[in-house]
Formats: sequence, structure tokens, C-alpha cells
Amino acid sequence: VASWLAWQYGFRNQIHDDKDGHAMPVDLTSGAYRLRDLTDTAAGGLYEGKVIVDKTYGHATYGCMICCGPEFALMEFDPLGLVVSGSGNQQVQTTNSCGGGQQTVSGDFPTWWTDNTAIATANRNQIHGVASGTTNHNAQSIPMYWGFRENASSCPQSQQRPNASTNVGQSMELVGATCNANPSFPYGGNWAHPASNCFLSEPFAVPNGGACVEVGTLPGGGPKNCYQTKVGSCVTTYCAVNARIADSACTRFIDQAGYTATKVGCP
Amino acid sequence: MTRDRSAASTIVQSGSGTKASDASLRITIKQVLTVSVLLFIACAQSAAAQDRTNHGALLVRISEVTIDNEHGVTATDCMLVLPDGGFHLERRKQKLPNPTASLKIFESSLDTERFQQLRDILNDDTLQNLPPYALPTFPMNNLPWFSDLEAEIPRGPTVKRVGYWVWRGGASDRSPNSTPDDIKRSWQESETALRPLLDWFHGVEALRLTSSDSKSNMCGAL
Repeated sequence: VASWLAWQYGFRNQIHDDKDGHAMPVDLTSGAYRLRDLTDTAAGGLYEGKVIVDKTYGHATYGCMICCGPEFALMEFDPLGLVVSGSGNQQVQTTNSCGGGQQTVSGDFPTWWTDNTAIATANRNQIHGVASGTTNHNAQSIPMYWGFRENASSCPQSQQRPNASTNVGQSMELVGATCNANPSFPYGGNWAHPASNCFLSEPFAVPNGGACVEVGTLPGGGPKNCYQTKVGSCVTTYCAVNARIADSACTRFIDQAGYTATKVGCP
Repeated sequence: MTRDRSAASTIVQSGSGTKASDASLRITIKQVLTVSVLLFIACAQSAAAQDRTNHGALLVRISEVTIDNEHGVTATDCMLVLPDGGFHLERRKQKLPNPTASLKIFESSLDTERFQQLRDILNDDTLQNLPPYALPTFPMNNLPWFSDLEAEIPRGPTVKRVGYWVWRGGASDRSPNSTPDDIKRSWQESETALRPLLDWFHGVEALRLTSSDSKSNMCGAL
């Protein structure tokens, strides 16, 4: 509606520039146009476009609308790793066929739940770990248009229901990072849950030929052992993360990345 | 645990051998026995569950961790021994680049000789007087190899935690090399005193044990 008002305002006041700022002929009476409903991004499309150019002489133009909006709803973290009694925020992400690339649309998902509340519970998009184990968490959108950009006389509404796995396990802290200690694995980390004597390691997929650097100060004291590669002016620093989550049986990590990669001066 | 299930099984067999001349009486006795057996099984399972979580009911919990970063091997073994000689053993081994550690669980009962050896070790004055275990500061940077041994032993209403940390390499001004001297001394003292317990533990691990399908409980730590 806001766009339509601005557009009509532009015609009434002889402001004949297109969206790119190019001047349109003053005697323009027809052409392609696009309407976007700025007040309801969720609905994504209008089923009919009707633009009255000149009320005085009865010149009206009708046009079919293009449906566009979010395409497929996906959970940002799958699996989502949690510790017992801990919580984590999940987000629903999508690409938008109207443009704009990847977008977070969690606000369009008012309903969240888990398959097993003995393992995890959901309060909107905040998932809470109850006990060790694995279950799914789910979300449901409001009725809205989901799909590709296409010509249509109407934009059908549906409710997307994405889900992801939830792994609840034990928290692990970084106990050591090894840099160039093993010829096969230039950089890796050791994590532990000291109370249960759970120790696990992970080598990282980093390029060979890097140097060991000490970065930052950790809560336990002392800097963290990181790994740095340099290609031209592009410097990448890989650092093991401080905290991770392992399964209750201490056989594997159930979270995602074990390290961060920070790039400076890279294209 | 296996031990509890076999105990319940014994009762069932003796109950089924009851003889009575009156058929109805036989049914009544059978029903009473069935209820008794079910109650016993429930109690036994409850007691077993408590055993795993109640430190007051354990004889010792042993945990040994060895991380060899040079060769990409992480091994963590733990064992929970109950006062009646039943035990639960978990052995994990991770060989990089495999992100998953293998896990084998064993449950059985100690023979009389090994059980007595353990009791003698735990009752030794040297072990009883060890200082509480203090962990090094984390993280430790670039250690090619390190190992940790811990034992939890009930002493009255509390559980005494003893242990030590051993390692190779690392920068002199970084953990664990930078650990205060008194703690390093306590690790050395504990390493000597806990040697018989470690040898005993390795002796049990070397036995031909049949793996169990029991679930991990981190030897009662969780």
C-alpha cells in the first residue's frame, strides 16, 4: 500500500522517475510495473494488481501479479547441540524469491515443539536440554506464501514445518590445542568434561604449512594456541573453540564446528 | 548389572521347585512366589540403579586417560567396583582422524583373589593419606602426550578423590609445566602411591572379558 501511494503520488505530482532514477516520458500511459506490499513481507505477493493512472478520463490498467516470498524453511543448526539444563536458540532461515538472499524468518514461526520432552523442550525458538539423548525439534509457520517467483492469479498460502535434530549431551571444555605436533594433522584440539573423565579429540581440516600463534586469553589463564596460514595478503587464523558438547556416552562430539576461522586481508 | 539379573534368576528356579499336594494351594503358593520374585527383581534393579549413582555404595571408581597427540590416539578407560565385587568397565579409544571413539563395556564380578588384592591396595595407609587431586590449569598448549589417573574412594560419608597428571613436552611457562611446585610434588607422590592400583586395573583390563550390551554410565560419574 505504501508503494502504491508513493507511486500514485509520483504521477500526480509529475515525478516521472523509475526505480533506478531514470526519467520517464511525461506522456507515459502504460508500461510494466511491480507492486510490493511493504506491510506484509510474510504474505509475499498480491493476487491482483490494479493501478488507476487517471481517474478523470477513466484510464485504468490491470495486471497479473507475481507471487514471490520465502522459498524453503530450514533450521540454522542441524543438529542443535545442547548440554543438560542448557538452552540454545534456533533460527529458521530461507532464501527469498523476491531477492535479498538468505533471510531469518523465525518471527513467522510462532509454534515450536519437540518430539520428546523428556530430552528437550521448546519455548518458541529457544530449545532447552532436559536429559541426555536425541530428539527432533519442530516449528510451524503462520499461513503465508512459500515458493518460487512465478506468475499467478493467486498466491497460495501454506504453513511450513521445518525440523532438526536435537542432541543433548555433556559440556566439554578445551583442555589443549596442538599445533604442528602431528605431521598428518597440523592443528587440532582436546576437550574434556573433567567431572566424568570424558576426553575427546578432533583434528581440523586446515591447510599445511601454517604457523603456531597464541591468541587471546582464556578463562583458565594463558593464551590459546591457534594456527595461522598466509597466502599473499590473506591471513587466516584457525582457533579451537573453548566449549563443545559430547554425547552422554563420550564417543563423539554432537555440536558442529570445533574451530573458528578468521580471515584478514582476503578477497 | 548382570550380577543382579543372575541373582533374580536363581530365586525363580528355587521357587518353581516348590511341591504341594493340594492343587489350589500350589497355585496360591505359586502366585505368592511370583509376586515375591517380581518384588525382589524390582528391589534388585532399584538397588543396582542406586549403586551406580550412590558413591556411598561403591568400593572404588578408577579412571585413566591417555592422549597421544603425536600419534592421534585418545584412550579413556574407567571402572566402577561395587562392595560385593561386581564391576562395570568402560573402554574408549579414538584414533584420529576418526571423529568417533569406540566404546566397549564389560560387566562381571571379581574373583576372590583379585577382590582381596583390591581391598588390600585401598586399605594401604599410603594411599589413604594422599592429598586430594588437583587438576592442572586448562588449556595446555602443544603437549605431545599427557595422561591422567584418578580414583574415587569412599571415606566415611564423603568420597576422596586422588590422582595425578603426567605429561611430556610443552612450554616451560605454560600449563602444566607452570603448575605450582607443591601440586607437582603431590602428583609425583600420588603416582608412586597409586602404582599398585594402576597395575591392578591394567590386570583386570587384560582379562578375557565378554563385552556387555549395557549402556554407558561413565562408571557412575553421570
